[in-house]
Amino acid sequence: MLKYSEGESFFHKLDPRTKLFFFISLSVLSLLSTSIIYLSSVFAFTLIVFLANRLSFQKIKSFSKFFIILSIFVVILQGFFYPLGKTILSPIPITLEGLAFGFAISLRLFTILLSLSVLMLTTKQKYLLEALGNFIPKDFALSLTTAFRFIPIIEEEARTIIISQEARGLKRRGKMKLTAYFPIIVPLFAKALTRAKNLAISVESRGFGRKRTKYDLKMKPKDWLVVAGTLAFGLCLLFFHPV
Amino acid sequence: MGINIQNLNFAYSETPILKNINLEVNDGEFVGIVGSTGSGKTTFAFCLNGVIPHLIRGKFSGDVEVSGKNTKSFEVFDLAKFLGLVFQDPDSQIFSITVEDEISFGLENMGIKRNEIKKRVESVMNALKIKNLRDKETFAISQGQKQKVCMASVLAMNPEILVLDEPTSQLDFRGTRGIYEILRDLNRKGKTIIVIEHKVDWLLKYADRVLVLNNGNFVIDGEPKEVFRNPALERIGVEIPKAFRIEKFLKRSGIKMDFEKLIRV
Repeated sequence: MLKYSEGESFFHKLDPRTKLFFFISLSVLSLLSTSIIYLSSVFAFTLIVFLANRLSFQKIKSFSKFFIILSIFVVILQGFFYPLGKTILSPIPITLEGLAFGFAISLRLFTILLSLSVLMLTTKQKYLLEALGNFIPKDFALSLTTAFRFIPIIEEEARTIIISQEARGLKRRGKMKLTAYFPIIVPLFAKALTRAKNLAISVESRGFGRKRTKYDLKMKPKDWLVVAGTLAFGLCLLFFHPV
Repeated sequence: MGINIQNLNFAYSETPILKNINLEVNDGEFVGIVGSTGSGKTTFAFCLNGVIPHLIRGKFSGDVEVSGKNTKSFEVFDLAKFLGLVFQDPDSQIFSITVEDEISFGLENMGIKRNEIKKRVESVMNALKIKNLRDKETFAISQGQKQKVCMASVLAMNPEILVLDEPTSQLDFRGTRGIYEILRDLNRKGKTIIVIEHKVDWLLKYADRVLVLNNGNFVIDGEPKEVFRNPALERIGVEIPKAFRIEKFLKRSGIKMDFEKLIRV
């Protein structure tokens, strides 16, 4: 789960808007090309920032696991089905271009994931809410910043539903049938929808809707430094590796 | 001012939940609402802060005035300044990651200055004895602690009227007494308190007025002592405080004594 973790790193002290800019620019950069060299540099840059702020991979473990499995699938599927693939690695009908493309897409995925982690792990929810509120309606800002908070809760709910269904004789193990998951997925969705509705009631009941307290976000020199650094990186990259 | 309700009717779909409710609650009253499960208590609470008709759709008619403001013409978030609602289910009320953020959320919405927010959060956490929870994650604390956090988040906003929907359902005896002592304190300072409660013994001790909700209407309304002596109560399905059950038994057995003393125990 991507939630704020207490710390004293350089990024912790930045203005949330700077970090938002960092996240958006790296995501956009990673979407511009599918070249492996290009994407590797974007990924490397993000990784350096991530590590330089002494953020631990432990914090994004559960997320990453899912994305690693996803990217293995992507690589294999692209290997088989990439339409522009030429070099066939016999004896299996997998193309080198396909594998490369799959790998590139995974790199892109991880770049976005890492830059998002940098933003979320170093920014308190209320500051993020205010920063986002400058660009998008604050209702959207609130739903964006709260979405992450509900991941562990939904996990917990899924576990409870599974236990309660199995306690009443639902067989899940053995033959894996998709239909076996319906009794779990349907209530899970129903619960998520109820939760969303309750959330709306809860925030309005506590006065969310009018002007909120300002947290006096201020762009300091180091913020501009990060903005400039990110821009410089992006421009250099595009200069040496035109898309 | 207080609360003034006229001909309130509400139905989620076909079956009416609230039927033609007329009620007046004056400033500074301490009111307990009792009623069997499904009698419409929670629905009624949502009518008070404007969630019904604004956020929950259904067939709504009548007028609800809170501190002189008709809920139909004010948004829920504007009414929140006058009437604070503590939800029955803390899990549907809490959404911030840390306890401190949860408590300050309402204050931020009111646009209060930052150092003032800090002060208010501090004092409300002191009052509810939850200072140790400040940096805890809201989903990692017990249900009873969650209930206190919910209450703190509403108390911090300092509304004139407080409505609490079974605020002590997950608390033990000491926790419950603590909450009621706080409510009494607030009430003495002039706040209007409305508590929906199943633990009737507490209402007998703390409330000045008890309303019994049955089938969508307030059928009994009066001082706790009168209400809990009402023979209709058992039929409605509301628990009778222990003292009154003992009193009934003793009276039936022909024992004479000062029953008022018994009730005060």
